[in-house]
Amino acid sequence: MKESTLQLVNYLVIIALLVTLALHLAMQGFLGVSGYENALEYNTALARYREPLSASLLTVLLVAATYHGLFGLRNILLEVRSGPRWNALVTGCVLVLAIAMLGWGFRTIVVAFGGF
Amino acid sequence: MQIQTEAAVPKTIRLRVYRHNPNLPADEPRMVTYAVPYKKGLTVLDALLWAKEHIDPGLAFRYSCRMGICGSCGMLVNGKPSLGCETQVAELGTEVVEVAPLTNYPVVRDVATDFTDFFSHHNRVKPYLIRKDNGDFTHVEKELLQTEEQMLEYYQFAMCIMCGLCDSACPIVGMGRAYLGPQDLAQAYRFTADTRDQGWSDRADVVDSPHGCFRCELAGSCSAVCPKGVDPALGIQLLKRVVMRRRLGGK
Repeated sequence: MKESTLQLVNYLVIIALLVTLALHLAMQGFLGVSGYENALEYNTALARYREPLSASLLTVLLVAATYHGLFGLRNILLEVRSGPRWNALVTGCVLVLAIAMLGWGFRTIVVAFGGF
Repeated sequence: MQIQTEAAVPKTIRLRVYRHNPNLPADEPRMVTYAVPYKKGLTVLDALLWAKEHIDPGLAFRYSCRMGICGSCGMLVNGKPSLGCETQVAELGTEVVEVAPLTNYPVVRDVATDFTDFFSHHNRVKPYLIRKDNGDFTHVEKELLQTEEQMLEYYQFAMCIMCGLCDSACPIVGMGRAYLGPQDLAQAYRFTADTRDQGWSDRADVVDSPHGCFRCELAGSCSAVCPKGVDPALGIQLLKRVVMRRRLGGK
């Protein structure tokens, strides 16, 4: 994949992150299922996961944060060394890490949303 | 820039020069100091030439035109990538003038460095006008005209003398030579921005690669050391914009 495509996706992800993070913070308080005081209570957090809108927001946030973070990590690692083999190794490791992070994150959202 | 008055400059300057021959295993890198008589307008290259002529004929460094045109005498002067012929001793303002080979280049001997990778990268971006008519001008009825505005799009980048100081100052080049480097990317922009050029498809894969223009972190050190006032960092950012526009279907 061309570097400009990855960069373009990153720009879109940054916009998505700004929106979802702002909404996420807002939903901890005045937009959410409770006020600021109980925002971090176990039952309140669980209730947020069970709201479809909130769960969807967390899903978008998970995907956006994972892409943005791992894209940055890849850029840093590509600066450490250079060459086609290093590129392939870094990109491969980052993809595996992305699958693991998204898998774990989706599992958390699905389990909490389903009330399992 | 601090320029000393003639009276403030000592009559003899101390020139500390990096000496090392990588081809001789027993030869350790070292700094050797030469006492060089000062005269008005003395440049670092003049001082090196004096030391070579009067003290140490084995001293190795590269130079040609002595007037900031050829770009051959790039070296670290007091730690900064500079052209030896354009750097006057009086403007340095130090008692000792330290000369070393350019960073980010393999040392051939002493201050002389190997530019093989540099020129190889330069060739990869195809730094020349590419026409789809493949040099067949039989049907061309008039010159390829440009307006002044069109020329100013790339003019400053055409001032590059390929001295390699920008690549020496670049921290990303320092991390690995796979990165194209500011000189090559700025030249890619210079020809891409030229309205007479039709070679974007030939350059796109190189500049849009993992070690192309998007690897630039905009440290700006390339622009700070350019002896010709070119702004390679700007060229790279403009190249990023071109890549993005073309990816989105624009021109």
